[in-house]
Amino acid sequence: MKKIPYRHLDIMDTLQIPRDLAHQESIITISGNGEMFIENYRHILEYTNTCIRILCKRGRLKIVGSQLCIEYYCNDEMKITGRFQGVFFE
Amino acid sequence: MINRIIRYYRGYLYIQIKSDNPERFFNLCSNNQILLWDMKHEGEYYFFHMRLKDFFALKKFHLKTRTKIKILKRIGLPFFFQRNRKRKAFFLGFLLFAAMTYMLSIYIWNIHVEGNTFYSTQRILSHLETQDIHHGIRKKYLDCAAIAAELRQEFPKITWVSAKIQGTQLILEIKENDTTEADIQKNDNDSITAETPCDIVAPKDGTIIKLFTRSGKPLVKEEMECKKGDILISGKIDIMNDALEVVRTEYVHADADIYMETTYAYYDEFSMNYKERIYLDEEKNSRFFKVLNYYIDFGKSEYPYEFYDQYRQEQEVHLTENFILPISYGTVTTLPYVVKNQKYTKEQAEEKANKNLFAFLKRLSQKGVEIQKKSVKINTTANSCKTIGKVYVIEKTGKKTPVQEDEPPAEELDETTDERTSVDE
Repeated sequence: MKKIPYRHLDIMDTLQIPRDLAHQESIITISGNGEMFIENYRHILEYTNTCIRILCKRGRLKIVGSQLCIEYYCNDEMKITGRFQGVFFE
Repeated sequence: MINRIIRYYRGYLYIQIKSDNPERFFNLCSNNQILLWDMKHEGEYYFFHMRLKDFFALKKFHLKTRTKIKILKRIGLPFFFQRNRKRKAFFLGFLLFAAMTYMLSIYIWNIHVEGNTFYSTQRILSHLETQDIHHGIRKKYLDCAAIAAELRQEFPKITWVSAKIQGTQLILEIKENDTTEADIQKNDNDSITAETPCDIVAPKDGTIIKLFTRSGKPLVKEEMECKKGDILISGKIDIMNDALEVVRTEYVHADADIYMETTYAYYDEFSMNYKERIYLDEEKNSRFFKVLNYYIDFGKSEYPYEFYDQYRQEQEVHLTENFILPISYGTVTTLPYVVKNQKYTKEQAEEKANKNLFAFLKRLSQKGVEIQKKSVKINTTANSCKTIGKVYVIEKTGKKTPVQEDEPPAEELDETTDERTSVDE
């Protein structure tokens, strides 16, 4: 992954450009402990019904829970449902 | 919801896979724009849904990732047709349904009229029927502009009509003139417009109380008595010169508010004997069903009573809002009664006479008449009760009549001079 130079990040923060555009951060929207939307990711690293690991543009994301189900999965966005117990950034 | 309908229309599959590297398989699908949904993991199997058209693209992935793919369910319209391809009657029915839907959609099944208060919907529909516009007419025979023009022409009180076809419905939006029925009748009877020269005459005998003249020459003054037919305000105005000679005559539309004290004669008489209906507590209901002019009655039996009232409640069967079928149903209620000869006492008769008088006064008040006094006497005899008297009122009055215009003398002179010149020649 190509790193963005530090001074460039500084300029983008000054210009108040959203972090998902400026820093290539993932957007994770969680509703309660049963629904999650993820945007700006690369691909799935691991998928079982208790754990999902996703490679994001900056780092990895690990979702632990039970009965985890991917409602839909396409290039831009994915929706995960189930019972979440933890979300970890690796 | 709309997504689910589109998916069903295009067809989709429920798939089970078994792979050493299922994540790679999913990522390959995602990178190749293959949408997967409802992904689940159970034991060593993964389950998901995918579109039918994307299924054939999986061929290259399953070799790369060594995945075993199994179709568990085929869902959607393409599979439905394939499964039922031998059921010819079903498809025939389906085609017939589509054809009938199309056939029915080319006719007008409802005529909706809105905004009408003066002209009833039924009256408008009856008129349209005479112009061959009815329920069940083909849409292509309808000319909305012509319908609007026809309605405006036929019903003068309608000032604006919009006719439009929406689906199988003909919508007529109507705007009516706000003037009252009394105004229209007055204008129709008098046929006097705001420009026509006219006089104002007294419609009945009375005394002038107040007079406000806007245009015309007043011939009466306040506190003056006048007879029926007297000219109160003249529309003929003589223009004088300094020597008080009439130079010319102008004719104007006389306009004034005239309040006059008039009298109304009151006479009421009724017999002291009357027949009272005593209803028996034996109400009977029977149902009926009507098709065209044929009745089918349920529960009707011969009534042993000499006198009875019958109420009929009839409910028409509507196909649409205004499309009434010639079928109706309802109930007939029979209320039997006996007739008993009664006689009013003096108090009862006076009470009834007073009641009638107050009803008369109320009707007068509703007409905008101010009641000043009344002089009424009630005479009760053995057989009848008479109420005779007069009611003195102040009412706004005045009847407009066209002015009898004199022929202009100037023209006569011209003609005579012409004659003279012709004689001279």
